[in-house]
Amino acid sequence: MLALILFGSMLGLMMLGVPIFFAIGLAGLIGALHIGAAAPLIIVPIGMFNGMDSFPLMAIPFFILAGELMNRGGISTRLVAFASAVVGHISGGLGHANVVSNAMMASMSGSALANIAAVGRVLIEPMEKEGYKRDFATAITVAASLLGPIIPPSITMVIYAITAGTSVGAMFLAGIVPGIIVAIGMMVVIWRHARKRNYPVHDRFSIRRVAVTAKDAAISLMMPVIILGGIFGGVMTPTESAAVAVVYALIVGLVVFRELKLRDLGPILLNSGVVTSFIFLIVGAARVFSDLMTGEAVPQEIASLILSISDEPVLLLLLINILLLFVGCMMDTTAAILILVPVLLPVAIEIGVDPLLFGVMMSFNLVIGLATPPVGVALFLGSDTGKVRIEALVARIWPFLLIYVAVLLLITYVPIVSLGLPRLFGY
Amino acid sequence: MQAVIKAIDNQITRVTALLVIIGMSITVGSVVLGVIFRYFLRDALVWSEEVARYAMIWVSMLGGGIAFRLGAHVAVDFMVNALPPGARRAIIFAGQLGMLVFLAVVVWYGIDVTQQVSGQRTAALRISIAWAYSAVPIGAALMVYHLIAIMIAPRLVSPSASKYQR
Repeated sequence: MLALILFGSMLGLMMLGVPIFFAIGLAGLIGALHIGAAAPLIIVPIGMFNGMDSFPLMAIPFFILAGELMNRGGISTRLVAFASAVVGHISGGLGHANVVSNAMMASMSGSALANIAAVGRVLIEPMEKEGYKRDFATAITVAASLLGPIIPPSITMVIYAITAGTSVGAMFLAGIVPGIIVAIGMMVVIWRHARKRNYPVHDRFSIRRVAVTAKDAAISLMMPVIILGGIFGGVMTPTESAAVAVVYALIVGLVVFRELKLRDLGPILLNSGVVTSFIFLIVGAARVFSDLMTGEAVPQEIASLILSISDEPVLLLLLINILLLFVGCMMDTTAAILILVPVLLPVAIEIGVDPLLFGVMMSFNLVIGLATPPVGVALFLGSDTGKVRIEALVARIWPFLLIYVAVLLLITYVPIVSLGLPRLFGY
Repeated sequence: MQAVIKAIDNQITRVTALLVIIGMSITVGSVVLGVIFRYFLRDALVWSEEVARYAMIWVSMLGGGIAFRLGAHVAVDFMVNALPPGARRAIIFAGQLGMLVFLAVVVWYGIDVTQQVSGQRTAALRISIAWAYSAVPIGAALMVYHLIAIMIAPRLVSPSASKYQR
């Protein structure tokens, strides 16, 4: 009964256009009122405070800030130039440069949206000159930007790791190989498309150009070395390495490239503060929501319900993937993880799925939802950046989303693809 | 009269925005200092993590108010947008009333909790933990203010952060 009230009121409020934080918070409030004396309303502010009071969670504001500083400080544009020099001579040139730039930026920023603006602004116009249709160029940008939350660092995976109680570092490692497979898959699709359409290959491969752009990009490429090296080397926690990356991006933007001005810092800090606040408030409200669920044993109830459908792992995993894909289309990534992990993770563990693997599966499903209607935020930002209609974008992006789905099925049924690296590092 | 209200509103918004900026700076600064002390000076700063966590809670609660002005509270609006204008306005208004109820609960019980815990000291700084907890009712009260402001004057919503920097 409580499950129905909690999920029903949350979904109902969301559909009525209530912002996500308030929809979850109000649902929690309604749930608490339903329980009555056992759940005094004082648990609302307490749950919110406890939810937000977490040091690992603080990697998130730093990744957001580092991403903004990277984009405004000229780090992103130099990476795109380097990527163009390295893969621009392959048939379909700038399409590949787009994918590679996004993959490289994914290794420094934690989200998809930061990548779309940066890569889209630099590459969509030149791609059009190379023969790409504008909507196709934008579709490539949006689809490749989804690597952001897959290739570490990743805000999505930080939230999953904290909710599921796994190691953030291990989650990051688990995303690397699946991310690279998606990137290669996208490049194959682009290559075939370019061959069929006979796009001109305007740039010969030049080792000099690679060397020149590499010199600039080297400073930028130190970012992932700091972040990932710091975490995987066991030197720093993810939060600490993210904070150091912020300082590095700041110094590079202000002193080395000099594209960042001191007066830009106010708006950058305010913007990343508000974006962080959006995520943190959801975390706080979701804590109230999930505390109520755990207190009343709702997860166990739902788990036994799901397990009563079937105990065949292959089938259950498929059903869970379909459910998550659907949720991803309708719901914010952070909210979906915080609310569904307590319910679905026990089921996954019951049928023998590693929590790390489940995290990668979940990330893939939710990330695909960023680029599907009706509420795909990446789709909206892409249509805005590329100046193309959403419908046109949707029509061109689905082959790339199918690659994500294919890799999702691969990791679901061949666990070693994502678990290999974490195991190698002893997790 | 209108000019006075506008001036007061401007000040409230600017000060909140400034506090978010300061809070973000403190958060980054204290974690980085913590790293420097631990790895280079071999002397752990006991307070860096605590300061960062509490500053972040302040940023989150205060940022929630500014988010109304920046139009940054993401909502699923495709269904509401499909409705005729009258029905849409009514549903959005009802939703906003619900949000006010929720915020009122957070303010009311938030004050309650803050008073209850005010005797406790934080682990590292040994200050009253009310300094951290009070972010919840104060932030929620400011969210009430900004929500009512945009309910009365929807044109106050503008997605440009730099306008609070003048």
